[in-house]
Amino acid sequence: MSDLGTEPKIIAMANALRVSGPDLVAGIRKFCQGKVRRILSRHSRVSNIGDLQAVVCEALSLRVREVWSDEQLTQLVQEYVSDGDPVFAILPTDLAPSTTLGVLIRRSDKEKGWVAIVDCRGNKHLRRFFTLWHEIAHCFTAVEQYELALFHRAAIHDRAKDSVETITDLIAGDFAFFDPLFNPLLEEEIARKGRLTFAGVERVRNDFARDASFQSTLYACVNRVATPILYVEADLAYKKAELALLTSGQGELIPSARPAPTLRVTDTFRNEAARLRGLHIPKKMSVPESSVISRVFLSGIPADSVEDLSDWSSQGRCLPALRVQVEARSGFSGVSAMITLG
Amino acid sequence: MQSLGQTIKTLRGARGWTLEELYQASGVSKGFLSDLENGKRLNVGSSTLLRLADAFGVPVESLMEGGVQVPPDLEKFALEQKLSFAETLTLLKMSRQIHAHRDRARFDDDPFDWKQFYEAVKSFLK
Repeated sequence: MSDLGTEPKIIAMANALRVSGPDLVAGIRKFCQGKVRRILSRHSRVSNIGDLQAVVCEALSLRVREVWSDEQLTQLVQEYVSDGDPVFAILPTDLAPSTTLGVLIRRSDKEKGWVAIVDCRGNKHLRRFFTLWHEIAHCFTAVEQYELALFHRAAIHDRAKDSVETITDLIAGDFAFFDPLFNPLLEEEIARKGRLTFAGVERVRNDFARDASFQSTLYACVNRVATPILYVEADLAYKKAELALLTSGQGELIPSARPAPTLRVTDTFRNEAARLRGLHIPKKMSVPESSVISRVFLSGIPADSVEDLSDWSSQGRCLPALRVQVEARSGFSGVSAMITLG
Repeated sequence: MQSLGQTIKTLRGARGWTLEELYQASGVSKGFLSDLENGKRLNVGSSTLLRLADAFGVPVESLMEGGVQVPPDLEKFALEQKLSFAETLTLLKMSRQIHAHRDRARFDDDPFDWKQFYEAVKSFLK
């Protein structure tokens, strides 16, 4: 987090918003929280996330337009072009790639505010909920001079994420899973089951916002629980040296040298409590056969077990001895596991 | 913020005009223009400003506000397409209305596709 706060774009954003202090990221998030508090002080009846979205959008002069079909998109373009904003004519081209989820456009007549176009065509609807809150988060931090200096189009995949997009995702997470509305449901779930489980995340999602994706709800839950949790994804993969061998072509010359992929950690995510307790598994680390993660990978049947992280080793070095509860289940590819300490 | 003289110089450079050509377009003398661009003259009357704005095809305010920075890639594209300066500015202004994209495959350092953008909005530029 501290690295993000030293990015030039984040410093420029903080300056434009008149945010200062040792942690600019925390300061910017606090700035946005203050904006929402002021909005809510004028609206007493906000009891669910839909209400929150409505009052925030109204206060920001943001109109959300969801597009579920090509016909709807054509109509939307015609509507705004005829209302004096030809820039909307770019939308069919802009939203054509399956990777473009939403666009935020400021009306040329500033009195008319903003329009967030959320593309829900095809599989894009799966990300609709968070995309909407991401666009709202952009409006929170939009400041004229800052925009002009930093006009950007950014991405959320593979290459290092753009710093503005990263902080916008953090702000979006603060409000898409707004604590006063989300935490009571999460606390109820933890009280009922004693710990966070995949099924519990699903129950919280159902009660809070069915439009939210499982993954974004999972992150919101993990981030908010006090217990150290490490979320892990594992799949067949090569370690770096093996990949280098494969790409060099040497494996082709000596067939016996061609490595086989093994079950490895491909992605991880942990909460602050896990960070403080040193609960961590490096990416690319091989999953031990004794772990329930390996068993679930082979059987496809969800399972739980209590394990010791010192069973995980790489090049003769073991992870610290920590007794953990591991819940594993098959994911889209490979296995997802929630590793809880204590 | 750019001075008025710097703005005039930038706009003239963007169009590839000599002082003579700007004089022909605006009727403001070359000596006056040269002094203005070199910071030897700071005060300009409103009628002169108006003539310069007309010659460049930009609003008077844009001269006073420090001018408009046309990104080099747009400048190159505009030259290739033989766009007028007013059209180029309109294109730039429209592009700046797009505040953000949420995209899983485009990257911050990807160049802006001016051709694609122009093709989509060109019928509205005139």
